[in-house]
Amino acid sequence: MSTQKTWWGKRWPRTLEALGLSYPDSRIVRARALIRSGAVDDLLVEPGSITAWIDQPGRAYGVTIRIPPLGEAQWTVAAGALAGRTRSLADLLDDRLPEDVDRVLATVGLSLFPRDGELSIECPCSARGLCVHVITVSHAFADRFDDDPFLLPFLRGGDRARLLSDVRAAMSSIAPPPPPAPVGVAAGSLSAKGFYAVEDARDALTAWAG
Amino acid sequence: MPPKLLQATFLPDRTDPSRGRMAWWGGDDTAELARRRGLPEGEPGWIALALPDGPARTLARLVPLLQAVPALAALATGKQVSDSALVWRAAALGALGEDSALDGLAPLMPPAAHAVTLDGDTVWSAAELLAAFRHAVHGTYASPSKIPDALLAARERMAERVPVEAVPRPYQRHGIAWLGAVAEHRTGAILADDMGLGKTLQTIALLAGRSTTRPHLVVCPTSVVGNWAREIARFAPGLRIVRHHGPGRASEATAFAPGAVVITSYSLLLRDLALLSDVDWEVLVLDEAQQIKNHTGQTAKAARAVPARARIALTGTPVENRLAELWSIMDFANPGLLGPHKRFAKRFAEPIELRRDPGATARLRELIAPYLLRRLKSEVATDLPAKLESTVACTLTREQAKLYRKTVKGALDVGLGDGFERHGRVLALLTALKQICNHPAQFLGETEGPLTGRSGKLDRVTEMLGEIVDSGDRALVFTQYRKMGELLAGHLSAELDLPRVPFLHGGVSGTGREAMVDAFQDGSAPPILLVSLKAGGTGLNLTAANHVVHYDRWWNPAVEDQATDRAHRIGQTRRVDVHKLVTGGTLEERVAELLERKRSLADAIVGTGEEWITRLDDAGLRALVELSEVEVGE
Repeated sequence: MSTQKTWWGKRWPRTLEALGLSYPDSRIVRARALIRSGAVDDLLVEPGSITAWIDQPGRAYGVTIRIPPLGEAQWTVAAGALAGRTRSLADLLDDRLPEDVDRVLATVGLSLFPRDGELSIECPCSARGLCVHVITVSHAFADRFDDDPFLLPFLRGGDRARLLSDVRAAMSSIAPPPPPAPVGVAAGSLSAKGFYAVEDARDALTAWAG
Repeated sequence: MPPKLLQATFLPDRTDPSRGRMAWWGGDDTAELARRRGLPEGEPGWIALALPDGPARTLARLVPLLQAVPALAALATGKQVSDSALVWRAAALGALGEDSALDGLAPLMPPAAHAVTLDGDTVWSAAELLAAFRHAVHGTYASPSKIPDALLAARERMAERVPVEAVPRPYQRHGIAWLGAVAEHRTGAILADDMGLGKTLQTIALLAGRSTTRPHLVVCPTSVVGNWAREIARFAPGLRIVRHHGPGRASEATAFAPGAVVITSYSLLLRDLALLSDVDWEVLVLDEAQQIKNHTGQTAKAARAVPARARIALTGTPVENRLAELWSIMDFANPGLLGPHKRFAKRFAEPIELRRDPGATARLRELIAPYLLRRLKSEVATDLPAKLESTVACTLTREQAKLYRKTVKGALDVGLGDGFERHGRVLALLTALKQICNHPAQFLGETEGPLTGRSGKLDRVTEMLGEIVDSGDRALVFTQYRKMGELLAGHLSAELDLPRVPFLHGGVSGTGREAMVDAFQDGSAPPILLVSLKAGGTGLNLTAANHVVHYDRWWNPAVEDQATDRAHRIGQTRRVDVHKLVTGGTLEERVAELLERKRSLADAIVGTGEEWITRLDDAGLRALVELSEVEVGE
């Protein structure tokens, strides 16, 4: 059912579960149909909110999904947590949301994806609570988010440049001391027979998991 | 004997640890081995290793850590992966994850993974190299590279001392400062200034300004090898030039003296690749770099195999709008900057080309901005003269070359006789050769059938006019031949999707001409007007055009200038670009050279056009018309 390709794109529509979405729900099918027919207009992502218009015959619904931005101090803490593992930065530089971002930020009590109670929705339609319009906007956002994972930090009040520079700054502050100047070994002392492989090392190398 | 499997080691940079790189080596084609394992190809470079049978200078592929580390961490293990590659996979996993994970790795490292020469006959120990790697990876990720900002700053500066015998225009001095920074940081970039803005001059200033113990290599289409040599001799007479061209070319790298500029062609790059990649070049320049726009092509592959400190690609096409082409050219100049081809397609090409995604567009622009310099004529207009002439080099197709050789041989073998008879025969030969350069269909008198792919000149002019029309400009195209004009009219309207392309020639009535001129001037006609040189060379006012193309040459500068002045005259508010098409290796090129070299003298000897040629003796004529060894297109 999901049309998103990345783990974060697939993850986003599930945030609506906190508002009572369960499966199967025929409204998801209708939401996808609305997106395909071009009913979503002016999708706008800003720090703290996603807004869009859903055009339906005779009426347009202005939908807002809100999620609280993180404060300055929280951003610094989040960057510090991400800086603990170089892989997070490698992923971000490659325009990918680190797969363990939830787990890493949870260690400092933070989250990029909305936690229970953080998401609030507004739609002028008559349905109570979660409606097809909100589901539609949420899916439309997920489609775009799929291509640009930095929309989530943006929604939380940061952006790509800010996040990268904060994480780098945090990494710099924990830089290990440079190693001592190398002394080297005599080229003649190297094993010619074992030049390309150390005996019995292969299994350990293959199994190495980092 | 190189090992069969791809080997990996780390190559530290002891002055700037964050510039340490991974080195792949082994196999006959290391780049291909890397690609098969899903690793970045990097760029070629010589490294010193201690191999079992002694120290060896090895041609490796060098990959910046930002590209190499994530790729190593994702390397699939298997029989085809060497122990040294597995070692560095483990090291990459450790460096990206928990640092402590590197403990215990050193004893598993075979010499192949660390035997990089440190000093004389000592090499790095496994533990030392691992520690240097760990430190370099951290440093590389913690502080972004300073190169992009340095390059962006350099182009805002103007080069002060410019070591060329010319007075570069201000925008050229910005370009020279930027090129200097590119070379200084040992990186690579694309100079993509509009045609006619002096990419050659800026490049020569770069080469003349480097003090180095290495030679430079310029690779260009065969048709402009001579032009490069002449321009270097003119602007930087102190630079030593080595033409690596023709049957007498060097077969030993010792011929390439330190600081010399070696000029060669794309076809010789392919043929002499072993020799050319055995040299550690200072600056490698690819002229007309759109030649490597297909990244899987032989030429692109060869260009990526030549090691150099700095790599400059020159092209006049708007590469930033042609993402596949951009990727391929940047992958030569700055390998890995745009990521692997597939990932680039997914991350940039699809979002931008299919959805006009503003986020992806901005990200790509930010990524390439430091490494791509393109100035449009319109941007530097105040720096430019009102009329800008440029020679556009074209290449013969195989069909054209065959016809050309056959025609020359036929004429010279039979003999041209003398007196009045000779006069007529020489003129007939010239006409035939010019027709062949224009298009085989003109020479053969064909009226039907597709024209594309048979004439290098026609293909080039179609491309150029396409760009001109796309940018909303208007062009006059002059030819001496009615037949060629008719071929062009049909071909251009079909290829450029124009309802028709009008042709103003001697057979058009007076009122017909007026209507054509009016419609061209007021914009109601298509943006291209073909004009026969004889019918339209004088009198007409065609200032709506800001491009003038001379499809074939009259060889009397005065006649061409008069034609050009149909657009470049009172009432013209924009600069006029004049493009003269010249087919390399043919009499067109030789006459153009003669005119350029001895412009004043030429005025005197050339007189009214082609008469002077008929007075040459057989040897002189042969030298003028015979096809030199040329790059023949497909």
